[in-house]
Amino acid sequence: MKAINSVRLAFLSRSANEGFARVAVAAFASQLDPTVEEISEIKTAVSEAVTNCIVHGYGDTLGIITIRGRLYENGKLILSVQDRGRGIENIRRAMEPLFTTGDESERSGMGFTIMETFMDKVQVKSKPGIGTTVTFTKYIQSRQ
Amino acid sequence: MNIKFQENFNELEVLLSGEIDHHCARGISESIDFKIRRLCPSLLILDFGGVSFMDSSGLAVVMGRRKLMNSIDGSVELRHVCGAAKKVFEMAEISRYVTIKEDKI
Repeated sequence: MKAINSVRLAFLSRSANEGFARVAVAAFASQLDPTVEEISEIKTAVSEAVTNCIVHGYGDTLGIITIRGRLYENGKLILSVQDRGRGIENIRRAMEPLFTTGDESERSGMGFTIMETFMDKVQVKSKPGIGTTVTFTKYIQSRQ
Repeated sequence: MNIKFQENFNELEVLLSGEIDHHCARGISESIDFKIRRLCPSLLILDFGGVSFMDSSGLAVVMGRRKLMNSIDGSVELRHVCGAAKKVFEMAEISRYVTIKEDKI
């Protein structure tokens, strides 16, 4: 199926851009007429993925985070959040609830669990030294 | 993000408003910890009534403050949890660790 609209956002991995990223994606997704709750779920999942790029992908360095969004006629939204950072050695372990390699006083280890709860599908592709791409699929329910 | 503090007897009430994400979570935690260390309250009340967005960074803010309050034999209560914050807290089953006071604004 062909996308009816698409966007690509690229921004520096500064934490100040977390808010920009989730609001920009929410504005794009709003074309599918989502509910307030669906918008909130999309914003939260994007915020988690972007935070992972900043904290884990790039760490103490700065890099580019790229978000791609595609909308389809049947209410399907596909989003991918990509970094060219250090990558994940063990994806399965990284996705376990409460697992974090970050500072425990700041990170809860619930990022992937939130993404999986709020999105219909979450796919993670990562290679150490190359980077990580998280792809979400979300079906926006028709309100007709 | 905006934080206001109210001190009543042995209680420290923190009124949070705006968005809680990784960008501002450390600042929130540090300013609450500073107050806890100075006042040593027996109860820390975190009021989420004005919070319009929260991701998992908010969980770390709550769990980190619970740890500090436990160390001084105090407890933590969450109030006015709604919307996005409510869903994140419910998913993490935060009620196993802190009291959530359900009351209407």
